[in-house]
Amino acid sequence: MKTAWEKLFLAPEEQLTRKEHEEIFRDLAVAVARVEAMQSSPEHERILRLIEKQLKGNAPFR
Amino acid sequence: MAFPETPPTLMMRLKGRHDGLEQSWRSFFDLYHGAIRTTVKSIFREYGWNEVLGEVLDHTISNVVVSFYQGIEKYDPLKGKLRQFFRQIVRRRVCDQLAKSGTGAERIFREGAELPDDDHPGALIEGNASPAEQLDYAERREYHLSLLARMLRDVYQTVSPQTYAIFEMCKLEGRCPEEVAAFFGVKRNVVDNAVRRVTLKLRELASKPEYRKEYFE
Repeated sequence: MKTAWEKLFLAPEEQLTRKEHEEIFRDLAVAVARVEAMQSSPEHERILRLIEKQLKGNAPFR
Repeated sequence: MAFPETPPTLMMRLKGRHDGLEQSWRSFFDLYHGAIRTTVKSIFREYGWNEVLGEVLDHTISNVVVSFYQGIEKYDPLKGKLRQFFRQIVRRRVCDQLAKSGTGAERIFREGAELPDDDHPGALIEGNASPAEQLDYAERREYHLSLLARMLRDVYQTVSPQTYAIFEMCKLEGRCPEEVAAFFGVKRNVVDNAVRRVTLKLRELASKPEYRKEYFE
């Protein structure tokens, strides 16, 4: 039996049940929360500054 | 009649070096910071470095992202997974870091095993998994989460800000549709249509090989 994500990725013609939709939305919410947690960490901004400093010298980076 | 262009996905913008590249790279790092960090820790551990100082970790991560920027043309999402591509880059940058440390290695290394934090995805693994297995699990999960967040970011580019905001409030924040309708001053069916539209866009994206291949190993 396919999981909700297998249906979403591998069987676009198959209908998702309400429960499967909820499962997908729950995972998406976890993903967003994880990204937001990393973004608000002090090291995130520090690393971004390091990256920008190194990339400023690259021509297409603007 | 000209058809409207489909907005390029984040990866297409990075590879095509579209305008607003700096913003695209910021978005990319926002999405993949957790995944790259876990890979860097994992590769350091493979070389016997169980714990690395934050300053060294930050520099290694930034070097990895810069290397990815410089070599992004070589990355083909249809040929391999982003995680594998990153592992190659991370290995090189970790080796650079180890070579640089030389005899001063003790400055960037402390004894002791750093296992995933309690709130870290790796902590979800059950049974008697070894630290290496835990990190591998954590790494896979981080890339999955980054991919899901990336899909949402790409969907965001294709719908109106209000449509996305309605979806976000209803399905990611768990607010009831009536409350969201009242918040935006719209009828309930507008809320339902917005959720349906974003869901359809998600399915559309999921059917693209670059996402499908990335999700399934």
